[in-house]
Amino acid sequence: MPPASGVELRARQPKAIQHALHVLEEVARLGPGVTAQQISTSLGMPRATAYRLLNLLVQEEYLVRLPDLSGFALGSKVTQLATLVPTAPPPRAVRRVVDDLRGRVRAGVHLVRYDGGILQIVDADPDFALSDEVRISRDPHVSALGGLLLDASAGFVSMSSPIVPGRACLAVPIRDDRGALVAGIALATTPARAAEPAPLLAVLREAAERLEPLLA
Amino acid sequence: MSALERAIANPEPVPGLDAESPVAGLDRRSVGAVEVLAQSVSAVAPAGAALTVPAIIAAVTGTASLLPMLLAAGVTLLVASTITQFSRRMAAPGGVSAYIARGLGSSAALVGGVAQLIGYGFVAMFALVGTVYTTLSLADFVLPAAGAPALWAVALMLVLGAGALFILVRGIRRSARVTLIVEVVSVGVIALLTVALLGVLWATDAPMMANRTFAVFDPSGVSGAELLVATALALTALVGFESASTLGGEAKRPLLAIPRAIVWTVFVSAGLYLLTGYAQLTGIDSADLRGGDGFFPVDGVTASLGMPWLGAVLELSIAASLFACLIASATAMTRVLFALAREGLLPRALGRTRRRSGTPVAAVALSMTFVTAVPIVSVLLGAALWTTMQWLLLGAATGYLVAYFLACVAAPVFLWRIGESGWRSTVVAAAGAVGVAVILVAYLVVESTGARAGAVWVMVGVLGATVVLAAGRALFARRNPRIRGVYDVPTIADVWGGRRGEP
Repeated sequence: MPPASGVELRARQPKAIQHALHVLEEVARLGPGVTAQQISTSLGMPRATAYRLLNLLVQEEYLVRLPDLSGFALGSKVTQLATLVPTAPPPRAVRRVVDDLRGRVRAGVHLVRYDGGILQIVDADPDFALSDEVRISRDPHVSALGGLLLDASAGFVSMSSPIVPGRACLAVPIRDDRGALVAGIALATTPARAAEPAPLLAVLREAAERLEPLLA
Repeated sequence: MSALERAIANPEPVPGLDAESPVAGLDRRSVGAVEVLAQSVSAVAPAGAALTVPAIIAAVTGTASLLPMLLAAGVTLLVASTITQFSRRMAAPGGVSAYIARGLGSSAALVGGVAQLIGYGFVAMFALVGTVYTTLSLADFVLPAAGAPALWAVALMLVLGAGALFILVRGIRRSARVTLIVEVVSVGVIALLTVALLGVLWATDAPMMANRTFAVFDPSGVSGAELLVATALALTALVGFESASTLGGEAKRPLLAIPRAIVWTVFVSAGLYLLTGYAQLTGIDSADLRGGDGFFPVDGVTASLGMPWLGAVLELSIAASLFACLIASATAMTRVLFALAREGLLPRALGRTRRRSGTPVAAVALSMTFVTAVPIVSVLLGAALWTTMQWLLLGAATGYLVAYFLACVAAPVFLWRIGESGWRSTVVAAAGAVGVAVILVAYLVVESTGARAGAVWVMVGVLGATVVLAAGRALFARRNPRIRGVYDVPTIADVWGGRRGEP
């Protein structure tokens, strides 16, 4: 069989899905910026097959082509392959404080915990949905609540969202007696309001103080 | 799936990204796959050409054969396949000129951009005049002898131009829906009527139809030169298939929808031409076809069949299809202007968009002014509508073919640069480049001896001057901005672990 038709067949057989998952796995293993040639060499896969599968995965947005057009990275859509474990709802006393704050400010109010250094969304504001729950819980660089995890001594973190232009977030920490970070509460608002944080910080800190004995 | 699970649980940082794409401002990811297809199909306007192309081919070359159409479809598929090598990898509102920039660099991209703007601009004008021509002809059918056609034509052009401007300013979602609906109806009407006509013909005289079917596929009676010229003419009816690429900034899942739209447009258009061509060439004595001149060779046929109303229905769907073609070609033109402005090559105002609709309003206003003014001037100077359409089509076809040729040359270089070249894509691109070059030269040589010789020399002059300009720019003006071929890139939100900063 000539190589061309062999490639054609392989990419169309049911095995194609398996191959596609191998390619996805290989991009994850070799890291962002990996090229099509590196994938094909590393998997021992014919180049034309590798290119076809990479293009298919990019078209479906499980992979992205980086701005230089030759490197690949995982697309945000890959997280749809992962399952999210739902967290238990917070105690009623905690919900009361959070709901009270939601009634007082025109902004999204989100509460998270940091057990084991991992951000866990405890109570996301149903009226102001988080831009990307999976992303925010996995990647501390994309949210103010993640920023608290990165800077253990911060009194508050203000950040304009790198995910959704035109959104910003203010987060304050909730610590235990020894000063260890336990939880965080955040307001999602506009960059303009976040730039003048004093009035919002005052209500946030007040809520954080009321939450501290309930969470720490 | 261990490496993948680990990567999802703990994303590796991917720096060098931004929260916004370089083509931000356009209504990003808003146009569905079907509308993207409609953009390309409308720009080709198969319903407008389906009835005229076989007749024009028969009239010009004296061949009652479907072979030129098959050959043209083959060459177009080679080009389309090559262009999808780009559109599967980059979503660029500049379309083909951006592709050329990634393969061959700034100078070739400048020539390609001018050729592309001529292509889209002239087809938009052709479609505007064609809509007017068809509407007037329809009015003549309904209400014979309504006088002063030149003034009526100018007034209609103004009205239709303003209508198109209104639709374009309202935003891509709405304009794409308009072109989709119009194109489905007009292509559907023509395909259905043709199939019905073929059914009648086969039912009444099957042996004659069998003979004629054999004749239209018989290569023995066609000379090589005739075939070449006829193929060139058939190809002019397929140009525009790549215009979906200019929705790179606006399509949902652009890397999937655009290449599919490009290839499917070739199948839909060429399929319709083959169907109507077959019906015309087998159903009508070729002598009648050759006698036909102008835009509606079928008028005589439908009248002689005792169904003049059929001609009116066909004209109505042709008018609608040409209006959709105006919208689609003007859309493509504005996106190219937008992209060139974002490159820094044109005034920055052309790269601005309206916040609510994401429409590049300045580019739309400029395009529509130009598209409406040129045909009006031509008519006021005394040119007949049909004559105007013919020279516009010649200019447009030349522009498209030059852009296609450059894209075919650029593709293997682009693939090699990003390390994804293969022998098959190279062979297809090379065959496409040779096919387009041969057809373009043959077309211009034949036209340069005919009534439109002036238009040929104007086109050669304009493109020649652009080549000189591009060369001069490359040699002497190093400070000029490099044409990068601006394209939509993944934002921080699109990439797992995406970050700002140096890559």
